[in-house]
Parts: sequence; C-alpha cells; structure tokens
Amino acid sequence: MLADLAVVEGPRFLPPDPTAELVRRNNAAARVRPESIFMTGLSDKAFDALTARLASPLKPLIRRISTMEEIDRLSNPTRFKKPPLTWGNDRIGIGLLKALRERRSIAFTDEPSSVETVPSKSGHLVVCEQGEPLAEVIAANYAYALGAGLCLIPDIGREFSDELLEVFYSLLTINLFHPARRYEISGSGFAR
Amino acid sequence: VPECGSITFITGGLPLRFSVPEVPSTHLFKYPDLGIAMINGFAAEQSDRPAIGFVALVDPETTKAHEIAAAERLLPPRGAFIRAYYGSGANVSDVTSMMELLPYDLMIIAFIITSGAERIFYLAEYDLQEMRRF
Repeated sequence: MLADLAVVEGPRFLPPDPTAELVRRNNAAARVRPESIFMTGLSDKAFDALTARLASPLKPLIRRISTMEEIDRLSNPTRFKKPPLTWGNDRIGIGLLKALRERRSIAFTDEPSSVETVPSKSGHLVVCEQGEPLAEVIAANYAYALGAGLCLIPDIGREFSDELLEVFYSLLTINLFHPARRYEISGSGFAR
Repeated sequence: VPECGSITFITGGLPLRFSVPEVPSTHLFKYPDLGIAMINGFAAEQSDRPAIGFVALVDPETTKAHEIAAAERLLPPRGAFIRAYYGSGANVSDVTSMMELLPYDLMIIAFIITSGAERIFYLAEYDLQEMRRF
C-alpha cells in the first residue's frame, strides 16, 4: 500500500485537452493499485467520464459517495472510540492530521481553529501554503503516510508570488542599482 | 524543523527552501494535480518499480557545482545512465533539444548562464510553470 488514503482532485475538463485530465487520473489510479476507489463531490459528467476511462480491473473497486450516511457506514466504529475532535472550518489540514493521529473523527464548528502545528514523528516536515483547502487535506494525508509534521503558512498570493519570481529570474539580466529596478523584500510584502 | 530532517514545501508558485542551516527539501504545487503528483512520487519509490535509469546533467561550468560532481560519483555505480552537458555544450539550444526529445528520469541543472540566451531559457521555464498551473 502506498498510503492510507491518497486523495486526488476531480477532473476539471479545461481546454485545450480535457481528456488529459482523465488520462492522468486513470494512470494515477493504476499506479497506486488501490483496494478501493471512493468518488465524492463529483458531478455526474465527471463521474461518468472517470469511470468510463478507468481500466477494467479498477471499475469494481469504485464506490460513489453522495451522503453523510454513506460516509458513516464506511467508517470503522472501533477506530473512533474517542470523542470527536472539535475543529473550525479553517486550517483543516492541521485538524485532519491531528484527528488521524489521535484516531478520532472531526466535528466542525464555526469557531476559528487554533493556530498550531503538528510535530513530526519521522523527521520530515510538510509546509503547506493556505488558500486551497483540498491541498491542505492532501497534505495532511501525505504527512500522515510519512509520519511527518505539518505546518501551514499564510497564502502568499498569486500576484506577489509571480512578482517575486519575476525578480528572482531577472536578477542576472537587470541592473539592480538602477533606481527603477531596485527591489526590496520586507516582512510585510514586496516594495519596489 | 526536525534536526537532520527534511521538508516538503507545498505552495502556489514560490519554490521555497530552508537555509541556515540548510535542510533538504522538495517542492510541490498546491494546484493543480497535487494529489496526482504525490501518488506518482510514492509509486515511483516502491521496491518493485524500476529506479532512476536515465539522468541528465547540465553544468555550464560557471560556478562550482558540487551536486553535479556528487551525481557523477554516486549514480553510475547504482546503474544509472548519465547524459551530461558541460561548459559550452550546456547551451540553451542543446539542453532544450534534449529536454524535448530524449527520455530522462532525473535532471540536475547546476545553473544556466549562457551569454545572450538566458532570457530565452527563462521564458521557456516560465511558460512551463504557466502550463503546470492550468
């Protein structure tokens, strides 16, 4: 088994090659050699397209999850003897990894989550930028599989990120001492 | 950071690293296809899968490249086939042709500074990042 639970995003059918999304997922499913494939949160179009593409040996492994009751039926009651972990709707990666480690389910509330990190057991640390909740879920499962800790950092922002990369890539070609090309990086952001 | 540990950075674009002291790290994009990238990585590391077979080394020899020397020393005894581009041979045209036409499992680039052509290489790399995002 590669990991306890590998999570993959659903297909987005974006141009110019929407079928490439299906092929990449099909290939990933074949590589991971899963015991079960759970599909949830997918539109009928995405579900039908994915199942039509999957290799024949994988098709019997597919289970579509649509309701909370189906999730409850999947869970192993002996695994969740402890009371559920109460967690907010933010920083869900930290909450998920804590719950996995403590073998507890999660009860989400509207209260903000506590700001904390999960320590590493193996020496590896996963640092995940916020702003993409599914990425946090994937990162938490990845960290759990590796015995790694998890630390979330604030969303850097696409615009600032692109601008900073632009400067780094341009360092060798621009005159840094020209007033219009002088850049400073401060703790609060990026000033020109 | 754990002592003698390592880090996986998952970000939207910035390839973050940790230094002073330097910590081995890798970088993944949080969007798109983060899950697929992880699955492919785990799958490639399984004991029944072939290890790294073809390695491309690119060293324009503009700086001391300890990682290139280490790769040359460590990988061949482990059965890796190495294709190397040194000095003036590590130019944008030849490296781009190699990237497009030849198979490789691992590529190590010391640094690319080729007079008059660095902008072209930079644009090519930037376009690749844009493609990854979509």
